[in-house]
Amino acid sequence: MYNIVICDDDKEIVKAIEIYLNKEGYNVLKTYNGVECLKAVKENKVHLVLLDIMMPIKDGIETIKEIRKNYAIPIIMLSAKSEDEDKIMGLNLGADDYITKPFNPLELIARVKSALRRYTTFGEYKEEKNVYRTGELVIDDNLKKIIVDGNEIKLTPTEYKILLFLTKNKGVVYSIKQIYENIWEDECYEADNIIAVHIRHIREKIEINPKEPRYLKVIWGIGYKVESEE
Amino acid sequence: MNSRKIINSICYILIPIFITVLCITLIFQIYTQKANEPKEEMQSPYQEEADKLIGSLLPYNDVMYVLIPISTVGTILCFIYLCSSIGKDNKELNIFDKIFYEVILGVVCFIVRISTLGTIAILEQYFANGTPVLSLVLSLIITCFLIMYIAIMLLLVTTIRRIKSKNFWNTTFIGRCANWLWMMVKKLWNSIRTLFTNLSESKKLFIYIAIFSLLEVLLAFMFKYVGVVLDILLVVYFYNYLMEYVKSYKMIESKLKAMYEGNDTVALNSKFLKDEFKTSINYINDVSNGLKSAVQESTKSERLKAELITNVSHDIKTPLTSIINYVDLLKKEDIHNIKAKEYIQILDSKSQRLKKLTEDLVEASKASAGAIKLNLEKIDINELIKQAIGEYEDKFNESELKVYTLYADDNVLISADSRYLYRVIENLFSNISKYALENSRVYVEIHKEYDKVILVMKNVSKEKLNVPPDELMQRFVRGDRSRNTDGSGLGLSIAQSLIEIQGGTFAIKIDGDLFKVQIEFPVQN
Repeated sequence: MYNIVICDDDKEIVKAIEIYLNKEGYNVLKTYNGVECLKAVKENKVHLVLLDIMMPIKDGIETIKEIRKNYAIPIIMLSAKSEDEDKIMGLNLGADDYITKPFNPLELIARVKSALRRYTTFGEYKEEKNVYRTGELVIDDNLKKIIVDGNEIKLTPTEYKILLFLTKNKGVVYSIKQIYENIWEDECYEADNIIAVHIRHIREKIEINPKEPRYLKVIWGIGYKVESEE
Repeated sequence: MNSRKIINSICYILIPIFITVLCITLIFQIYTQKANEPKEEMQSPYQEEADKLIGSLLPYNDVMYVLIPISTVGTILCFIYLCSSIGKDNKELNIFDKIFYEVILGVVCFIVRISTLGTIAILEQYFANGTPVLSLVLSLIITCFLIMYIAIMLLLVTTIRRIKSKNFWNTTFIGRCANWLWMMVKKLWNSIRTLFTNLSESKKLFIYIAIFSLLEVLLAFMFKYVGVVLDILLVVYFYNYLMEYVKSYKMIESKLKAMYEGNDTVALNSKFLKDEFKTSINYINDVSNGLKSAVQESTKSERLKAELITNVSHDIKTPLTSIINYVDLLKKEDIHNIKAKEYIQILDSKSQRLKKLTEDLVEASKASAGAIKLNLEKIDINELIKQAIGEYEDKFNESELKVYTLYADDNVLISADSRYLYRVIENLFSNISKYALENSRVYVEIHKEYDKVILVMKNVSKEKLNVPPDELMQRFVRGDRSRNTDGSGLGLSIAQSLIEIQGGTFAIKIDGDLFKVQIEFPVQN
């Protein structure tokens, strides 16, 4: 049973999130400003904080700074500010994730789960032969299995090969041609968009939001890569 | 005043006395010296008379030695005094002083000449014939000398007076002529100059060239080799002259270029340019200032607008979050009423549409205000299009569109922000998947032409395109005007703004049902 603190000055939003999280079996503590949020974090054993930025009395920025002084719990920022600068600032201050309003409830839940999993299973993984890992994406090449956020994902053989290749070489950007030549071990003539289509399919399967991938990133005009670590 | 006049008069009298004394003593000296030499044959019958005269003076020999320096010094002093004293009281010139100096000089010279000639004639007569009486001869000679003296003194006085009143040059004939000539030259020069300054520079240049050509021809005829050297000098001069124009024009051109590119900061300084560009420079500076302030105004208002839209969209997003979430929750409730379910479905799709609209609105206003931070890097446009087609493959398949691609032969690198460039391609592909006629072909082609990359997308529209291309790129305009279809009407506007801030060009062509987008970027190597 995980305790999650929700902090937003809009009561209806807090209530809606509570409904979703309750359905998933989480215990929710509702707060409406930074001060209440800090109090809730202090008085309970909290596993995750969902934090709005623009709030009265004490805003999200101040609150996150306060929390980070004493706690390493995951914090997901929740804001109507969708500018890149806002996201970067939030992440730099110590937020684990940043969700913009209006958000997709399913995505919110997926991100909460992922953040909790990372927090609770931290350091559980052992180094194993032929097991490749980045963040919550695990490829067990012995069993030909792919696990994301604890769930097994089914991929086609080609998709599996591509993802395995990129995960083995995580952090490195490969162009379509390079991926083709490495997977088929053949000269690339008219690869066209086969690889691009496969990559999209992989993203749709392993990512919470395929348009904003966490693992398999598209570097437009250059190629693709698997993010090396979160 | 009076005392000066008296002293002047004394000087006038003293001078001839001194001179006479000097002459007599000198003659006496010469004569006595001659007397000591061995005597020659007597030529004159008056030797005796002269000897007698000299003999009478002999006892005063010592006095005479003293008299020579005294009379010399006295004469000089008197002259000096007169020079300083004359013209002190009355600086006005009298009539005599206004007569041309040359005339007076001539008359005086004439008198002096006559007098000397007269004296010589008298003396010759006296020594040759001896008839006239000595006293008569002496009186005649003295008269001649006095006339000479008066004439010379008059000349002296008038000279000094003229010099002191600073009119010497003007009272001479030559001076007058020279002055007159100088005035004429000056007048002529002035009239030429006024004529010249009123001439346009091209006419001036023509005159310069005419004069110099004439000079050159003359020089060529006159001196063979000097002409060549001067010729070269003239060519160099003209080259410099013309280069100054070229330089001025270059400065104007660079200013215009800066204005065109929008990084125009420094006003042109007319000091460094040729005169005839000055009016143009003033106009250019005015236009540039006007343009700058207009651009500043419009960017400022665009930025304010973008800021306003961003702020408003924040305020819209918060209630929208609740709407989306509660609609979603409603969907999950166990509702058996079919109508209620249908209504919820409408609410769901419209709230999603509203979400998309607010996001697009913020993006469009930011893109057109230029309030986007670009992260430019070299990207391969072939790769980008392959990736984008991969992303949209299923949507194209849904609409049963066949995509034909033509890539540039080699890797074509352009400088762009890959995320924003993809956003543009995404917008365009999304439009194609929405508005292209089902079962038709879509062409995506990349050409490299010299230093440009041209990306062309062609598709056949489902609906009749009854909007001109320019209007299509404006915000909130859609091809079908009825606004029934999904989308915000901001796609093309965003695409155009994003391409332009990345340094590319974006154009739309409509030919019947054929919808064609052309994007151009400069090639980076």
